[in-house]
Amino acid sequence: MKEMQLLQYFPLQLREELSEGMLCGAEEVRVRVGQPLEIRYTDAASRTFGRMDRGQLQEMLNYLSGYSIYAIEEELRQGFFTVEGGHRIGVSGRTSYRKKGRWNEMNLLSDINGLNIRIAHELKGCAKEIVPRLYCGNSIYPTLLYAPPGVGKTTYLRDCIRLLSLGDSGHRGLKIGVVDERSEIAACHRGVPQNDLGPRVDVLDNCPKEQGMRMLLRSMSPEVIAVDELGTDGDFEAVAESTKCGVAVIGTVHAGSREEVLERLEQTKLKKLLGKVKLIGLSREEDGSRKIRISDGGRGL
Amino acid sequence: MRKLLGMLLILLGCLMGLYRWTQAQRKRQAFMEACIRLFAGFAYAVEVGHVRLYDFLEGFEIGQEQLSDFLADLKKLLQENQYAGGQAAWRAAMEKNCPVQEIRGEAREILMASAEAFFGTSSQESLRCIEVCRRRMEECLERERKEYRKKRRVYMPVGMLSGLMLVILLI
Repeated sequence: MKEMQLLQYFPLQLREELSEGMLCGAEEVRVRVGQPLEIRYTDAASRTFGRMDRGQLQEMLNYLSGYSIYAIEEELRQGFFTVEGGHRIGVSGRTSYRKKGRWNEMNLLSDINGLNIRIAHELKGCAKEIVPRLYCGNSIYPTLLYAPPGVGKTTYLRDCIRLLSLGDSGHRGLKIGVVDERSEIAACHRGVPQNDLGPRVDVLDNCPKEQGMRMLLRSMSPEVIAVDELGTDGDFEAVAESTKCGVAVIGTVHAGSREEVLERLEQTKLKKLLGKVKLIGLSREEDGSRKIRISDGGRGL
Repeated sequence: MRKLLGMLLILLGCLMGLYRWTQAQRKRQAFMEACIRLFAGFAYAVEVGHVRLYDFLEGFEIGQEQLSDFLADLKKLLQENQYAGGQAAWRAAMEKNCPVQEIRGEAREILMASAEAFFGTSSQESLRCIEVCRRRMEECLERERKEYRKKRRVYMPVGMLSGLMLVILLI
């Protein structure tokens, strides 16, 4: 299982203490200097081990980066990086800035004092009830999955991509282009997707969303484009452009409610397409299960 | 007869010694040239693609056997994730593949110091360190070559004379 791969990234001292079973069902591993290592599970339970010192955190960082911290400095500026298997490592520490034009741009993240390892989960079949509602003729409606952080938008998006590319008895498999800016959807390692996205998927790994969508439109003739974490005006502009070209986009958005999403879309170039957009809301229940709400963009707010 | 045999053995010994010295010098110089190519290749990989060390070692081929063994061993040690820091793995690989008898002096010191460049925390730091190491290694190689040419001017006539005497004695 993917969680077992993570054992090799822990400090040598802790590997003996941690057994492979302890990572089963784990959702997140929190590492903080001077604090115990914490493993959080999908059912909201957690376990703690030992006490991490700076040397051990540095050791973990070496393992996670393949002893090449210089190679991930660009990702560190964004506050996270992805490792083999699709696991995302969030990083906290001391930032320094440099002047770029009128603004300050983050220059470096140093003195790292914490890591948040978000364990990738491939939940095949989780989007079974969503995908049949997305079809619109030979393609799908422009679709946005929204939820607060940590609920599983990317996991559902991944499964939607897989099911759409496979097709079913009533629909043929669609050609899907994926812009995987943070290597979370496909989790490519040396260009090869580590996650199962189905047979008709082309992945642009580590590519900015705006640019990636335009590149796919020009060269890969996709029927659907999938992106994760749409947020900037440029992202939504590229989505609108794709939709005008007859290519549906399925993406995720950070939002706590349908109203928040609609408010956001009202301010972008997707305002005119609101009536055609499908909104899929995800929320976490108390027992750890997920609730799905499907609605149309409708008349907006 | 015994004196003749003795002289023959001494002459042969001298010739063998000279030959071994020449081979060792050439091996050292080839190793240093290979190190310079390694530094240049790594600097390019970091500058152009921020390539991870594993991936760089995977794609980088070098003809010099000793360095090639060292890099293969280093890659294996890094993949096992058994060393807290990259420098420790570098030292272990060096001790196994570059013994002090074969690689010594400044060349060894430069190769040890270059570990800081390969395991740096920022690409700028790595590039600067590797540039310094490359220049030092080039200067060291130039000095070795000068030294070799100077000594060869002395040893070559001695070797040729020994060879000639050997032939005369044999005839």
